[in-house]
Amino acid sequence: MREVAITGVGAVTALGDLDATFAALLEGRSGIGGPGPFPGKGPVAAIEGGPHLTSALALRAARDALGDSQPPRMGVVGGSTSGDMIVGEQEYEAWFRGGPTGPRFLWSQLCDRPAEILARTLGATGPRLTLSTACASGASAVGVGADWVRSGRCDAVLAFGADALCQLTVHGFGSLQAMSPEGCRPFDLARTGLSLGEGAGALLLEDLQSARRRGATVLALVTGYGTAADAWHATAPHPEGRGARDAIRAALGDLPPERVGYVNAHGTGTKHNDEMEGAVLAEELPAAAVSSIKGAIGHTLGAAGAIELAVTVKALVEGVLPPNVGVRDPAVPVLQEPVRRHVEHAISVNFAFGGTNAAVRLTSVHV
Amino acid sequence: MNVEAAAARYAPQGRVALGFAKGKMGGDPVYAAVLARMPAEGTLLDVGCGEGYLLALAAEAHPGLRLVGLDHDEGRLGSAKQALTDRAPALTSEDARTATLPQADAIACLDVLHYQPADQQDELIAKLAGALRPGGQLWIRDAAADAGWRSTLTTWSERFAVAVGRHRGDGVFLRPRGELPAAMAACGLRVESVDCSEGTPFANVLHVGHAP
Repeated sequence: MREVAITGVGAVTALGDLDATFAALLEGRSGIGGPGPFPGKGPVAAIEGGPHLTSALALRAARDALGDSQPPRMGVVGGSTSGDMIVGEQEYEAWFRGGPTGPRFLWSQLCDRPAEILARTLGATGPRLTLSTACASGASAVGVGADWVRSGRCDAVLAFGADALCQLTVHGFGSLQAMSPEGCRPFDLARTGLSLGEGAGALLLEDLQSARRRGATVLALVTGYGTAADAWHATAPHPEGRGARDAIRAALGDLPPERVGYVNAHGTGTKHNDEMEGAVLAEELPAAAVSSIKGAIGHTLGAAGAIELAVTVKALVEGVLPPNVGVRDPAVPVLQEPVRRHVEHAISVNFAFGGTNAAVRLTSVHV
Repeated sequence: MNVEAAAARYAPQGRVALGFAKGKMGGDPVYAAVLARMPAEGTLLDVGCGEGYLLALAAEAHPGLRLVGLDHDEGRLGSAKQALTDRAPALTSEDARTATLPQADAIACLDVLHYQPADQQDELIAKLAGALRPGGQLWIRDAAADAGWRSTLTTWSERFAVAVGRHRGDGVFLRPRGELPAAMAACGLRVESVDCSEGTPFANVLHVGHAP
């Protein structure tokens, strides 16, 4: 069986690029600020210079992940919930007010648009796929990309998750009364909901042997991917976290759970997710230090899994675990300050609306 | 407490080092509790000083204080040396149990004791108490075995590494709450225990021993 190496990572969040984001996380600094482009629904983590196209954010993260690498026949797997929908919303509004329609209206409806832009701009001629599993999209993209490399479908895959803010998501979460009026505080006893964010994360995945042959720096390995459905409810997680547990166990494979030293949690700051997730993590991964980074970058939806995996790669490489920014009175044990620790195995989890659960296991090459 | 200035000392070591320093100094309430009690002059000895965060905070607060640090980890000590070059601190990678200690006006021993068995903890406490000048203070913080230690270790973390076999120590040796202040009192110190957990559910108690 081929092994999957991560040879590049990139991200863009309200805190900046991946390096700036990681440094700010260690400081305990949050990028959740004012109302963003759609006021009235609580503070969001907007990226400077917006509003953005999801495609543009994806491209920034992808370029950082690729660096100077140009793997031949590279595959692209992208995850997004709304693609470039903000353009369609603007077009629709213009048409509604009596203006003309144009081709922007068409391409902005294609959820595959960011992956198409990436493939075209980066010259990626391998297989291409866009998947949309709500807030698990980014993690699913990395998991599927790793499966492609492992199975030999291609030698290199650029996996990314990306989402910019748009009316659908901001007003959608607003109508669910899921948005915090003060800013997201994952796993806090007094948490009041999530904060939306925008961003993108990207990972370059390669067959370990080919990566070594070309002299690439191997940052970490993708050693497990599990996904499972709750088959339960459109927005609420299964109360006992059935699908979440199955996904984690599948990502573990034969690895004893106590060997996982760090979990980058989904931790949205909503009552239901954090309650379910706290119980699941305590039971399934009892030895792991836990933190959610959504108190610093908001919930970036389809980007979340990819950004969180990029941050987890940084944590493995630097030997530093980021704290659970925003928590004051933790309901469950989470990291309240940064920690120097080289862990061998880490898992990043995402539990999405619609009951799609995803867990990706990374293994350090530094321990 | 000037976290910004103290953390800025780590900026030349990179963004991660700077972020970590800021996060640690700003996030751990023990620093403020200790800084509030720190003498302005004399000698501060930090046993298990790591990257020297407490020494860096002390350097910003008290220009006249002599800084001494011990740590077994040469990498972390190297970071402390770089950050504190202007203050020429005495930093050595010695084991406090065997090292010759200077006479000090304040001694910090934060999250260190549990790396050794109870009898050795008591010996070290006695040794530290013996190094205090008259009127000096000994600050000890450690997790207690009967105060949700698993949670505490997960939050305070690097100590947890021992439990999963990633640290040089032999294990985690936690003692029931009350044993550490008792050991300090047995050395002739007047002990007060200060809660600095700031509303977290985890025990975070600083024991302050005053030498007569």
